[in-house]
Amino acid sequence: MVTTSSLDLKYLRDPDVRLMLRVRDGDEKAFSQLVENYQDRIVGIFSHILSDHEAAEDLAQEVFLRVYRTRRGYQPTAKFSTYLFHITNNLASNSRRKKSRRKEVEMPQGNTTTFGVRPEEEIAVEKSALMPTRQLTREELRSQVRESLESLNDREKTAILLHKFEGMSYQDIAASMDMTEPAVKSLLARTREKLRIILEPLIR
Amino acid sequence: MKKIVRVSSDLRSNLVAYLDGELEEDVSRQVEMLLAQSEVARHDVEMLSRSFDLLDMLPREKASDTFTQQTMASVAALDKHIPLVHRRWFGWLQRGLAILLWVTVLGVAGFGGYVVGQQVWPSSSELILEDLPLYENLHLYREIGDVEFLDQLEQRQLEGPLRGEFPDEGNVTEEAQP
Repeated sequence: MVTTSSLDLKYLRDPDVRLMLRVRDGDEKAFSQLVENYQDRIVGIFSHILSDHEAAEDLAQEVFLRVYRTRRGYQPTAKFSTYLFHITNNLASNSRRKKSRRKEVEMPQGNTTTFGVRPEEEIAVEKSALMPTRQLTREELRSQVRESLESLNDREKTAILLHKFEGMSYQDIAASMDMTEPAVKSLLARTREKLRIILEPLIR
Repeated sequence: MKKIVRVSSDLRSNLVAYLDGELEEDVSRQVEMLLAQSEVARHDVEMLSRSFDLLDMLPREKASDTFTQQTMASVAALDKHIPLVHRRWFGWLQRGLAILLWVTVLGVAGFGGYVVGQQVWPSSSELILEDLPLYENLHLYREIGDVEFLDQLEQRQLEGPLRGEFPDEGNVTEEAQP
């Protein structure tokens, strides 16, 4: 039988868990160290999700402030990165909900102009990029990859980002996203299949 | 001639987990067998792998140089504006007051219990005092040795030990003498 204390001991090997325990005891230097360790990773994830660096930094800061505010109740029941990405995922979900509520009352933006017509140049570039015979520039390819990521829904995007850029296991992704491991397996399989279908013409 | 093996949806979903090294050994072997037999599966796996690798082209955005500094400043501001109820000393004060309250309640309950006990249940010395007249005249009761005789004395309203007005032994002897 696995006891709580044995679980705690398992996670105490994680140096960031040990830092967080120091934060819990009021050590601000330890907190500063944690911020430095994770700032780029959290900002990176939010940048991909929100496509807005400034908003990504604001949300990343909110993640750290939330960690700090709740430090006294911290219990090492998971790897620190899992704990942190769980908060990240929650904040990302909240942010997306707020964003979608705002969109309901805003005028449509993005790929359409004021008159609902996309500029011809834009369409031309997109079409030419999809032509298999044409050699894509690196920048065009990057743009296509970014669009393929944008085409994913929020859960798919978060799961693929945690897996790709954080190298997280299915188990850790499940813990971060409040899902079961089989659900993560299925979600990632679906997502990778979507990406394969979108990106395959670029690979050939 | 190439053998065409259909890829079931279950196995297809296992292909990704296989690439990620997240499959159990026996399922991994099944996938490997499928890959050995099916060109379609091999193609799928290669495309899945290569499309996933393309994500490496995405820029890895970093936090600004002042991010840590700004976050720590926000933390400091947070500490300054921390509500009274969330301050550590307030927690200790709350706990101290709670303990004090419990000690007081227990003390008052104990004292009250003692007082009530004193009122309701007499002590052994009080019981002895209550029966003192009986003890004092015990030798006379023993001499009489008959309850009926005592009842007769009672009915005649004679002075006697039942009324607790029995004269001293010395006086009785004096009166008895002619």
